[in-house]
Amino acid sequence: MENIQFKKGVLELCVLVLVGQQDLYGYELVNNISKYIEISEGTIYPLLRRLTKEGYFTTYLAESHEGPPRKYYRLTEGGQRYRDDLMREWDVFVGRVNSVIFQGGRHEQG
Amino acid sequence: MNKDNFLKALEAELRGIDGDERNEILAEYREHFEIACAEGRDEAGVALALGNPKTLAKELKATALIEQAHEEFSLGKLFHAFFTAASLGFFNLVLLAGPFFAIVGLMLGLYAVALAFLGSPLVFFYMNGFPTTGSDVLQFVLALLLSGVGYFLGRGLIWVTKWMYKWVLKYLAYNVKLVKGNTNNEA
Repeated sequence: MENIQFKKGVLELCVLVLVGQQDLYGYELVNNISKYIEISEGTIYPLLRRLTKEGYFTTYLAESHEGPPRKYYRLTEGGQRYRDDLMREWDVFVGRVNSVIFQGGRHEQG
Repeated sequence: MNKDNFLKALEAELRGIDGDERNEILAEYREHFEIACAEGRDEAGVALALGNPKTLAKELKATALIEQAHEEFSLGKLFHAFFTAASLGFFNLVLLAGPFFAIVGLMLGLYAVALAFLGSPLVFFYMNGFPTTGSDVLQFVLALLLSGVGYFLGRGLIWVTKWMYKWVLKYLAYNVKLVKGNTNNEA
């Protein structure tokens, strides 16, 4: 995906969904996302901070077996509602784009 | 660029925000480097994948300054937050500069009017001295009335300014979120 603006919006949704599945620390989250979407990995952290400030995440430190203690992110109730809203918006958006693409496709064939 | 260079560049760009907040941000990136290196990745590769510390810092700084200006009413902080947000990218600048300068210009103009009204009895004294004739007294009373209007206009403007302040902060936060600038590896 080349379109930066488009990616940014989707990134927020992906972060909310992934942290909603299980508490994650930043590095883990970055790795999970960059498996699917090509990003500058550092951009995840400003996003995490903003979402935390907006009350969608809480954080806690936990020791790890190896290396330094890790800062985990957990989705709050407000975060769950926000995620659900974004997912609905995403569904509607994708649905509309698809209907345009499909109509366009039929038109070209006809 | 290795871990230390990256963190130093980030730290340098984050000047101007609260010390605790800066340390928290740096700790997060340090943790990222440490975990990555423990997995056997090399520092330079990790730094490259993270992106340009300068661009990352701009977004972090804008968010932090908006938060600080939110917690404490300070026009200085608001302006600082504005200039940081506007420097995020071309679209941020375009979307922010117009409305911002229009509002600042309008408010300054209205404050000037309020101040001139408020000071009109003084202007009267300066120009005419103590009122003696009938028409002088009438003019002086008018000046006093004008001064009263200026006073209430000023009170109203202070109220509007506080309301605008909140509104501008919201718009700034929305703008940072909406466009966020380019956080590519490009300088």
